[in-house]
Amino acid sequence: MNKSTSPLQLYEAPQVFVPYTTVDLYRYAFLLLSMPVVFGIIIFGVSAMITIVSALVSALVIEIVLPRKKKLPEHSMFIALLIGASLPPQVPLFIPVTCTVLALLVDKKVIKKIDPAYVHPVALGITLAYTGFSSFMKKSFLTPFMHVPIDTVSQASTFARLQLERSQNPDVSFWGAKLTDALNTSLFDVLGVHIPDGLMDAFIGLTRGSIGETSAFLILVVSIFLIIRGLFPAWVMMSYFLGFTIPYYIFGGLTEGWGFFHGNVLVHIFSGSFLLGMFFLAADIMYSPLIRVGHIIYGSSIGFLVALFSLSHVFSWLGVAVAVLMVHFFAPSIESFSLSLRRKRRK
Amino acid sequence: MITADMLPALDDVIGNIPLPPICKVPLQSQGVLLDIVHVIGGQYVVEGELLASSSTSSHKVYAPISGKVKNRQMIKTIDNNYNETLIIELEGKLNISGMGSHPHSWEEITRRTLHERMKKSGILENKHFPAPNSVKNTLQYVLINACERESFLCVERKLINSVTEKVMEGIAMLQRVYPKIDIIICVDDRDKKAIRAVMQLLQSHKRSWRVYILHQKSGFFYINDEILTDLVLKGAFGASRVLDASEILAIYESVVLGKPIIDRIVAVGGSAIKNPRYLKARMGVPIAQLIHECGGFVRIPQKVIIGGALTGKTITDLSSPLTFECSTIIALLDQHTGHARESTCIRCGSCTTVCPVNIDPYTLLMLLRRNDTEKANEEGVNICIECGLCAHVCPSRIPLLSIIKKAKENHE
Repeated sequence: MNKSTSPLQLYEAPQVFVPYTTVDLYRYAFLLLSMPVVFGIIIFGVSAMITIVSALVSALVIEIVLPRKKKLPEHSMFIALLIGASLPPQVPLFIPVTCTVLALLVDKKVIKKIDPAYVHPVALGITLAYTGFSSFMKKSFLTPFMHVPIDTVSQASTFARLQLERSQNPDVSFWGAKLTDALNTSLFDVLGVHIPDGLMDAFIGLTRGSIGETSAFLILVVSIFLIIRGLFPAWVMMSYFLGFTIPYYIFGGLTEGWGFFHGNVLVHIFSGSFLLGMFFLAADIMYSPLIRVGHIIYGSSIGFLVALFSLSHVFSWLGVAVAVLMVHFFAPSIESFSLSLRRKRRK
Repeated sequence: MITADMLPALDDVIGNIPLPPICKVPLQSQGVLLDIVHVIGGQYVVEGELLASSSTSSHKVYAPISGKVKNRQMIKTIDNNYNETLIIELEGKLNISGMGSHPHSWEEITRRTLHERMKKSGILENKHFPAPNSVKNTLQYVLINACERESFLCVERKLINSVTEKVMEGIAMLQRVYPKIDIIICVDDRDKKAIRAVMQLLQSHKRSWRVYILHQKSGFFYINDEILTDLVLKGAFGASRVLDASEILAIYESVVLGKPIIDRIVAVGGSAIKNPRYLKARMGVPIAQLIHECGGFVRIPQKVIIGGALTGKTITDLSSPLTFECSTIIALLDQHTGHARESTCIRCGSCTTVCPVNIDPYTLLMLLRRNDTEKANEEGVNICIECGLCAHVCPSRIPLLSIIKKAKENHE
């Protein structure tokens, strides 16, 4: 075959690559994260959509103004969506824009003094939102319009007191209370445990909260795909989970006067930013350590700090983001320690 | 996505390639230049006759067919370089493949004679086996590899499955010449039939050889002699040798049939090949003829690979002749190679996790991009065995292997 007419070309080894690319990976992560976000938009309405869109548009503008040499706009869009998902639905426009721009400038190393090796850009953006603009944030949480309050008049008289208490709790909806009662009477009472009010609302997503964090159920569903596809390191998620649940289960009951081993772990897992933080923030592959030992140290440290903040009632809205930021400051040390262990295995 | 049906099935019959009218024999073997040519243009040679040898090593090539040595030509070989090549036109008597060949008995002959016959294959010398009676003989273990060394290299598995008895007989010859060595046969755990056959033969012949069952990880993998020795023996690399099943078969044929290496079994497959097959072909046959025997291409492939999916080399000229190094030919369509444009490193750590020699390609990449070669050397750039797994798993398609190779070359 003549050299000039051959349709075959020379390629350097290796000849075959894994069937996915970085672009696919972040596209898929974006798609998965967008599911709880879309749910948040549905239950909170137009203001939530405006928050998300403004974060995404600012990311797009940054990508156009400051493109990378080897482009990966999908990651910037993922960062923007995650920041938007972590914000309350009714924040002023400048907050998602400012936080997204800051996170992306750090991520692109435009702000030279803040190296993403030491700082998780998304956690930084979220922390800025909740600390720098705290007065705006408190006013920005909405009750989902699907949250139907409990109708105390139509209830039977024997439950009247309980229902009245429930109706005064803004975190308990009609459907949440129904589901809680059904599960308690049919299953959990038999097992000798009791689901507290508000837990099912948090699980389904009928409670106040940030746009993407509301439905624990949806986050758990998308996390299955996240883990099956191996997009983000499962070891970080697992060690984060254990790093939180073990100390919180042991000591969580002390603050309520219930003693050791009575911490109400489920309430903390299903409410707030615990799950979103675990699957999308802490485990973001770009900011996690390289190998398994590092994943375990990194994840469990974040989980432990989140437990510590919850037990001491500090950083109420941004416990996960602050924990990620704090652990990330030690990320290069965790990295070099885990790699030194690997180096010792060399022949 | 690469699937198993792109390769020939292990229970497929090994097809025979018809004798080619012309064979092209490169005057080099495994990268060694064969500077002593024993024939001249116009001379008639018979199959198995020595054509050329090296003055610096034991590498030799033999006539794959009987015929007339036409001339020497510069021809593009499977390493994509132009090499001097002997052209032989088919003519005359076929003393090996013809009716006249009778199997030789080896059990009654002396150890010395057996060793001499085994040497004809050239395998023992190429693998640096010591002389059996040498005082410097420190050889303790011989590992027989019947597993895939890397994804797609399935010929060794095919041989242990289909010609188990011949392979076992070849090992028995080796044991006779080196009675003190420990023999360990490494078989893939997927080859249940082969494991049973090997066990039965060991029992019936009362052999004390060990069988090591290798559990391959899913996905792509790479095993060289050192990694295999480490897996099986937890070290002892210097006191051991690794022989592939195809090399054992070559030893067997050199003793029993008096046949030097003039042919080999090749796996031809990949998504672009119509009917993937195992073929027995003479050295010097054009690669195109092997592909033709498999029904040709379904459509034009993106690449034709000689060797495995990781370390294999692509060829551009399908008229390049077959050599002993070529055990597998894979033709892949573009949707099965996974090529994509390079993007930013996302620090996923896949390269570091997958490295079989525990170096950290990510750190090396960062150091080499900063031109910090000193630190890159400290990080073990020279330990790299160039298996390509790091670049294979990289979702950002960073050419890690090329970068590390270049750094190694600069260091040397």
